[in-house]
Order: sequence, then structure tokens, then C-alpha cells
Amino acid sequence: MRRHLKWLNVDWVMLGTAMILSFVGILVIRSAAGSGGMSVYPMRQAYWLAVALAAYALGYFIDRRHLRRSAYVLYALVLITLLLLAVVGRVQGGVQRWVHLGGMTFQPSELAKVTLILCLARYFHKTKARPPYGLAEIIVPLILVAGYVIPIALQPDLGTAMFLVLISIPLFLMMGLQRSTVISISILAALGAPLMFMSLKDYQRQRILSFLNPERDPLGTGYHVVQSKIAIGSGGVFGKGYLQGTQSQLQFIPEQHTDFVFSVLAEEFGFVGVLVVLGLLLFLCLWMLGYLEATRTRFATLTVVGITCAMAMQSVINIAMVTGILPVVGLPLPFISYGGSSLVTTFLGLGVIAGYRRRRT
Amino acid sequence: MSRLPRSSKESIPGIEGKIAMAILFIVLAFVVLLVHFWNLQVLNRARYQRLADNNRIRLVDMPATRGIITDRNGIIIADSSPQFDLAVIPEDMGEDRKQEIEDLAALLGRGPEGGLERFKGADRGPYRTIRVFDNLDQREVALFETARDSYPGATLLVTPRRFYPFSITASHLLGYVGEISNSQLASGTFVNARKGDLVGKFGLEKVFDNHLRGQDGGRQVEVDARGREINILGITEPVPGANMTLTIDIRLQKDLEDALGEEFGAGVLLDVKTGEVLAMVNRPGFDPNEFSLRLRPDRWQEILKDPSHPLQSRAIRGLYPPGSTFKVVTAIASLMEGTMDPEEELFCSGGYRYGRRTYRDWKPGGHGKVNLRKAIVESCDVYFYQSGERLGIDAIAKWAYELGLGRVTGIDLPGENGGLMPTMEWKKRVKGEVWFPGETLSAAIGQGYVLITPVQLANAYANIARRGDVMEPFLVKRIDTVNGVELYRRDPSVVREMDIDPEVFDRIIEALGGVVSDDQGTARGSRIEDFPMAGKTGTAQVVRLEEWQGKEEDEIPRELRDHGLFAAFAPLGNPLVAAAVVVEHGGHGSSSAAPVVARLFRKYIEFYGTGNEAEPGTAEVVQ
Repeated sequence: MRRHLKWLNVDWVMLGTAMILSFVGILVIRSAAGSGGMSVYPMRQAYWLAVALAAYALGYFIDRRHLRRSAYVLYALVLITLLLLAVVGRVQGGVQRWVHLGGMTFQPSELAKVTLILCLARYFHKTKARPPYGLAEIIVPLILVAGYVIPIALQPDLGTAMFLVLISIPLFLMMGLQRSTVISISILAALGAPLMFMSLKDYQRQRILSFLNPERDPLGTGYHVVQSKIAIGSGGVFGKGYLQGTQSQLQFIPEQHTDFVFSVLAEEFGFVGVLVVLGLLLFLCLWMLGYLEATRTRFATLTVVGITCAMAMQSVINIAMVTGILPVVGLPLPFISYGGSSLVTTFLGLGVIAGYRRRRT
Repeated sequence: MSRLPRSSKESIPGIEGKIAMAILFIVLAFVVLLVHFWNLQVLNRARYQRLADNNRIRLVDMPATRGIITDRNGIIIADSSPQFDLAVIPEDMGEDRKQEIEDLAALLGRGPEGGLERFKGADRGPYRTIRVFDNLDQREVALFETARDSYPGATLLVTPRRFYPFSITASHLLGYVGEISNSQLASGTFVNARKGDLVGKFGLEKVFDNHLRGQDGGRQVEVDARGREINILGITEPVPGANMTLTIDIRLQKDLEDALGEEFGAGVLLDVKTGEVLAMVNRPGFDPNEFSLRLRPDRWQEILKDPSHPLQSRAIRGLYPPGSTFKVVTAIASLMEGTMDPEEELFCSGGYRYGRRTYRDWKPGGHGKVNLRKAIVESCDVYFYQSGERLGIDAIAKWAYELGLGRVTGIDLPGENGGLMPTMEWKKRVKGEVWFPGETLSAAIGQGYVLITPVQLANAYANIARRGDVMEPFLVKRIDTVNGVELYRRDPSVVREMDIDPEVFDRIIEALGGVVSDDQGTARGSRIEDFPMAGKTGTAQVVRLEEWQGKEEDEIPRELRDHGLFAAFAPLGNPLVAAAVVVEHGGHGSSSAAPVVARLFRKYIEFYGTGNEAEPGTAEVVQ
């Protein structure tokens, strides 16, 4: 009887919103994939959604203490996978970022987003130092971040590497940093940026340059963003209709089932569609933050804040990218973009958060 | 959210404010995005809609085929044939694009350098179509078609191209086509022409370009990102250019060209009854097909700098002294002005003393007693020195002009040169000097300042053959659209009648007949049985130094040798054809030019008969 009640205690609002977004994703992927060689993608995404639900359940049912205690272990497991990939990973289009398990491929760098948050939350949970922290007190968590960022940047997957830095910032800020620490890190970043730019691969540098001026060479590197903006803008208020987008159906939009999936949605469903999906995403983020009422430990608070902020940031960055506000960095849009790793990781994160209300009943 | 559990509150200082900040940031970011989408989708929708349409809707040119040019018998001498170019779309190619270009080159059996050169910089526009190999022949097209599936990024582009099946033959008449230049585009003479169009650049292709070119059409198509056509939205069919029929007989044209061989010079064959040009040859010539392809700049320079001027239309632009072919003018002038009695006999001792100078006759021993007929038949210079002396230059010029020398004939080709017939007034005006009477003597035998073009000479003799009816020679018989609508048609017409008495014609034509038929005639070697010819040889002196005086022609360097000329019409009683041939540095007209005309007339008889068969009643051979 109790078990049965637990099932009824599932957060249907959260899960429902996530499912609606995922179904919208499958719908748009179907439109983006067309009838050619990619027509299996929507079905495949549906299978992945089933796996993602399992991941949600895993995050939901796992004991909170076990979760906290195993945070370092999970961190290490993902790190080892990343290092193995760097050494023996199969080369895919010049980039080693996939793990092959049977017939499936998985991107451990996606999983790293969750394990990094858990690991940092675990560190701050136990640390004896009292915030606000000075530079010396955050050396260990910084090393933890670098442990992921460096091998991923070397893959090279600069977008994900930078994103991992980004999602760890809310955790540091939640704990509190000394003003001098913030200033010195900012200066270091400002000095490091040109050095970073110099060490980039040529195509990465082209991307940043074409971001600064996309019309510079409309048939070249800036092509992606220009075409994406044309797709979005021409969608108008109500869109061109499902499967009716000329930009997407004639494949003018690059990577239109993954990174640029939102352009397809905006073209076919218009501003109304954009409003609905952005509304659902924002609602979900705020709903997730509502779990802070239920958290009793530092670890729990930081985990909820970390996972929610990561999802919000990833959504905002992806959408800003397809509209030309930010450079093309190759981050998928949560729920909507095609890709199993991203979907599974997102649902795992939701499950972890949902788990904080499970025990209250 | 505001009421956090106690334990949390204590463990993280100021957590509530920080979370409020986070929420603020997240909401703000979403609002910024929404505003941006509002801007793109609502405020700028029209602009992006237009861009999207531009993206997917292309206007694909459908070039009009250029009108076909045929000779008088319907044989195609300028055709429009499709040209196949191999092009690639980099985006659709494989990993190693350079290697793919090399593979394609190897497949066609060509060197890869040209293709790789064209391919350079392709990375900047991966969706653009790049022509890598031009003008594939049938074998190459077949080779590519069989291997097509291995090269998804490669495609064949078809464009109509001008093709001249007789290559060099009639090249100066037809001219050639090329891409329209910016100045031609700006001039407005090429109606409806657009950038990139092929237009006539020379010859008839240029003069009648607006008829021949036709009107390009286009297809409005929906394309995908790779430029593949998905849908045809609208179509404007191209209007093919009109077909042009020329007066020339390509067989005679070819024969005249062969007869001139490697010599430089020009020849013109006219139909006496109509003024139609049956053949008009300039040597050397050029291959207009070279110009229809992309002509490399170095090859263009090579043609321009060729000292033999292959692009020069000598027949209408080449200026030559007429030499003794001009004596017919002096003779007619003398008879019409009454300065010479045709039976009056002058004595020729091989030279004529005038002033302080002796004017030589070509025959060192002289011709003895000479009347008008003998003077023409044997081409006696001394007789005509005296005729000229009695006439004066202005009278000679008057009658030369009347016959059509020293003025344009009005042929329908661009750039005809009028030549030069000097007068006293002309010399005063142009040279600022008075006319010396001795210069009249030179002019009387077609030397000195007198300059004519081969087409003038042929037309002057045709005018004589027509006994005073002046016609304009012409090349374009008619122009019809592909649907058979007549756009242009030229009917023979007499533009002027010469003021010359019939008895004068009788006498002159009879004497010209003697030039060929008499045993003393200078063109006796070019006699044709059943086709009595009236003609006059000429040897135009090239200015040279004293040291070569009196030497035989074959002892003199070629570029200093005289030009050989011959002008004639035939048959005598009822003239059908008239011709003039100039062989540059060919020496005597009797040995260089006259045999060419004789050969051409024989060829004419072969195709068209002697005229006796057709109208036996009117054939009246005067001997």
C-alpha cells in the first residue's frame, strides 16, 4: 500500500512538462529529419526517451545518502571514461566524444554535467571552511572542474568544456566568494581569452569571427547563422505550418535536427510556438527551484540549484546561438534536440531533483 | 521558496537572496530571448520571408539558341551546338576534394592543373557551382556519365555554343561571337542583351546580332540548399534566334580559298545579274571556333600581333593600287570625253618621255603601233600615259567614280573601306601641294595615289558587265524566324545607272574579251572553252628601291614583289559572274591572279553551267 502511494507521489507536473517538451522535440525532429536517410531519427529519439525515463527513475529512487556518498565515485568513473576516450576513443569526424556500447553510442561529456554538479555539491557539503571563500579555499573544487574541462577541451569539444565551467559558477556563487577572488579570477579570464583564441583550431576561430559578423561571408562560415535567422524570421507569428517550413524542408538550416532544431520549430510554429516552448522551459526551471523548499542539506540545495541552472543556461545558450546572439558552440537544446545522451542526462537530473520530495511522504 | 528549512539556511549564508538573484537572471534571460524572437518573427517577418523566398526560388537561365547561318544552297555554315562543361558543387563532394578533381581529370584523360586552378578558393563558397573542365567532347561526356554515381558533387552544365563546321572558310564574312563586353553593354546597340550573353563581335555575326541572338528565357525553380531543383514554379521559353541565309556558295568559297592557297590576298566572286556575293575570301584567315570557346588572352595577343593580320578583311578593307586593271577606266574616260579616237594609233617604243622623266612601259621593247583595242589587250602603258595626259586627273577621277572605284560599294559588311581616287582638289586639301601633271600619268595606269579594294574592283567589272547598271554587292539574302516569319529580305536592285554610251561598252567589252581570247592577250593562259571571258590583268607596283629595277620577279625578295591582280566577267554575251582577285606579292597578274579566277569560273560552270544551256537564244558570243 505504501509502495503504491509512493508511485502516486510522483511529481506529475514536472514529469508531464518534461514529457510534453520531449514529444514536441520528437515532432520537430521528424520535420527536420525529412524522408531521407535521417527519417529513423524521430523513432530513435522515442526509444531514447524510454531510456531517459529509466534514468529519471534511477535519479528518483536512489537513496539521498547513497547519492551524496557516491558523488566522488561517479565523478571518477566519468573522468576515467573521458581519459580512456582521449587515449583509445574511436575517431568520429576528427572528434573523440562517443562511447560505443553494443549498438548504442553515448557521450560521457553529457553525463559529466550531472556528475560535476554532484561532486562539487559534495565537496562544499563537507568543507570546513566558512564562506565567503578566498582563492586558496576553492583550489580543490577548481581542480575538480579542470579535471573534466581539460580532457573534454582536448577532444576537442570546446563548447561543452566551456559549458562545464559555466555551470559550476552558480555553485561557487551560492557558497559565496570574496570580492577580491571574483576580481582576480575575472582578470585571469580576461588575460587568458586571447591566449585561448590563439590556441583554437582554425574552424573554431572561423566560427567566432563569423559570429562577430555573420554576413561577412554568407555562403561560408556565417552561412549557418544567417540561414537560421532567415528560417526563424520567415516563420512569423503563426509559423509556416508543420512540415511546411521551406528553410528546413529544403535543408537550408545546418544541423537542423540537433543544435539548430529550435530554428525548425520557430519556422514551422512561429512566435506562438516559440512562446509556448520557452514558457514551458521557464516554468520547468522555476518549478525545479521550488524543490529548494524540500532540501535540508547543503548537498541537496546545491544539487537542485546546480542542475536547474545548468538546464536554464543550456536552454538559453542554445536558443541565443540559433538566433545569432551567441557564437555557434554546439550545445544541444534540452528535451528538443536529437541525441540520446543529452535526453538521458536531462531526465537523470530531473529525477535527482524529484527525489528530494519522495522521502517526505 | 522563501521559507527554506532551517538547516539549509544556516549552512549557506544569504541563500535566499542568492536564489532570488538566480531566478531573476533566468527570467530575464528568457525575456530577452522572447523580445529577440518578437523582433525577428513579428517586426522583421517580411524581410526574412523575402530572404527565404530568395533562398529557395532561383531563376535559371535558359539561353536562346543562336540563329543558324546557311549558304545559298541551305548548307549550314554556322551552327548552334550544345557545349558540355563539367562543374562541381564543393558541398556535395567527398572528403578529399582535390583528389576528386584529379580523379575526374584522369577519368576524362585531361591534366588536372586547369581544374584545380579553377577550384581554388572553393572553400569560401561551398554551395556555389564551379566549372572545372570546359567543353567535353562526346567521348568525355560518355565517360563521365558511366562514372557519374561515384561523383555526387559533379554535374554537367549544358550551354549552346556557336560552331562553324567549315572552320576557317568564310571566317571573315561570318565573324565570330564572344561574351558581351561592358562597353558593348553600355552602348545599347545590342538590344536586350544581358551580362554574360554571347554576342556577335565581328562580321555578319555582329551586323545582324539582334536578329541572330534571340531572346533568353528562364525557369523559376524551387531549389534545396544544395541547389537541386525541387519544383518548377514558372517558365519563360527562350525565343531562338532567326536563321540567316547568305548569298555565298560554300563550295565556291572553299574552292576560291584553296585556289589562293598559302598566298596572302583576297578574291571576290559576284553574281552579275543580282549583285549577290557568291564567294569572298581573305587570306590568311582564322578559325572562328577558337573564339567561341574561352579564348586565352595569350592566344588573343598572338592573333592580334600576327604580322599577316589574319583578322583583316582584305576584300573590303585591303587597299591596293589597281595597276593595269584600272586602264579600263582611262579607256572609258577617253571615249566619253572624246579625247581619244579609238582607231587612232600611237607609237610605243617601250617608254614615254614626259617632262624630264621617261615613263617606262612594262614591255622593254615596246608595243609598236597601238590603238585602243590593242592597248587594252596587250596592256600598253605608253598608250594610257598619253590618254591620261590628254584627260587630266579630274576627268579620270570622275569616270573612276562613275564606275564605282574610289568609293564604297555599300556591301552589307561592317568597315568597308572606300579606297582613294585622287583629284587636284584632294591633293591640295590633304597633301597641301599642287597636282603634278606627271602624277596623272601614273594614275592613268592605276599606280600612284590610286587605291581600291578587291570588292570595288569586282563590282566595277560587274557594272561594266551589266552595261551601266550599278548594283550593291550583298551577302545576306534573307533572315527568317524559326517559325518562318520573314524578318529581312534583300532583292536585287539597280541603285544607279552609269552615264556611259552603249557603243563605248561594246568597244570596251570586246577589247576585254581580247585580253583572254587573243593570242597576244595578257590573260591568254586562262582561257576557258565555252565560257568566253572578259578581263584585265594588273600588276601593282610595290614601292621599292632602284637596285631592284629591271630585275625578274623571282630575283626580288617576296615582300618587295608586285601584287598580281585580275578582274573579269563571263561569259561575254550574257555575263553571269564577275570576279576580282588580288595576290599580294604574287608578281604578274597574268601568272598569279588570272589562273585563280579561271579555276573559280570552271568550278562555277561545274555547278551552274555556262548559261548557254539555259538561254541558248540570247547567248551571243562577240569575238
